[in-house]
Amino acid sequence: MTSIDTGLRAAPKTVDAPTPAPIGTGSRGSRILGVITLALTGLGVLYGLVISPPDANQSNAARLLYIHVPSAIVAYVAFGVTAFASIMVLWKKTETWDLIAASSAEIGIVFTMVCLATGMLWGRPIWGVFWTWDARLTTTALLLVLFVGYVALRRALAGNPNRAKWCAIAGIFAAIDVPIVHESTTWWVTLHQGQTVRLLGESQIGGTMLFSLLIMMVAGMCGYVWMLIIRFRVAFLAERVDETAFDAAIAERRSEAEKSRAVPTIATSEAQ
Amino acid sequence: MEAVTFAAVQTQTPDFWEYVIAGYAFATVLIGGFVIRLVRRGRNLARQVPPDKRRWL
Repeated sequence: MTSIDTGLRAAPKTVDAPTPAPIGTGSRGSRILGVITLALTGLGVLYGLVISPPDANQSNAARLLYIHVPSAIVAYVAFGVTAFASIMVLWKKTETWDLIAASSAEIGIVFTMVCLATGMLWGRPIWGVFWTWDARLTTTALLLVLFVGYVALRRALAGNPNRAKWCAIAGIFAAIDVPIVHESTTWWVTLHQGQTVRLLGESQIGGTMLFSLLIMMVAGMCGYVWMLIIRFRVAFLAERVDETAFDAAIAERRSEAEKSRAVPTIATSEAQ
Repeated sequence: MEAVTFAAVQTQTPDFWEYVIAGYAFATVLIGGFVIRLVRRGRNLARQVPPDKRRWL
């Protein structure tokens, strides 16, 4: 076997050369995850709206299950991450954990809103009402209000050196509602049904319906991780912009102060 | 006979598609809007930050 010399040589490895700074908030990993999320969501919607059969009792209204349950689970995870990151803020006192807590809370709010809206749209044909002060619905609405309050507190304390600490305490406090929401159907008599899918034990659905739900759950989790990565980078960049603006303001103030100090010197020399 | 009864029940049961479509549309608009806003804000901020400070971790 003869080898052909193409004239191409491998580029010499630059061991100490720094890796270039990212241009936007995207990276190779986040782009791959984004494509996976889109593909899984497309497949999940296809299964949820077309392939899975209508429910024997609820007809097509049961198709809302494929958005309602995954959005609730993503919201739980997002607020759980906020609580964990908040504990890390109090322990490690680093900016990274503070930004992760804030980013995850914002994503959790979006998914809680989806969960509540799809639940209301599901409740109207099945229960006859959009809203009722049921334990599950009320505790979920409270969860939304608590985390909207958390985000509002972050904005209100912008520039305050103790913001990370106070917001971490608020984040941990708000996340206490997550297990209450989850257990509300077992602790109180509720109109809302109990757990549909159980990790341990028999699930209430199976076959294509269970498969559709699992696809949407995986898509939701991939989407959450993607959003958390991008939201964290946006928050990180916003902090750097604020720092740059602050540094520029300090530099401007210093130059003004130097100019004002220079004026009397000139006046004295003119008098002489 | 059973098949006829089942078919009759099927035609009488409302299909609720309007609620399903509204739910999927709401989720798409809310999550899609959040993602688009996030990406645009990231691009705008990235332009304002010098490359040496654009390192996340």
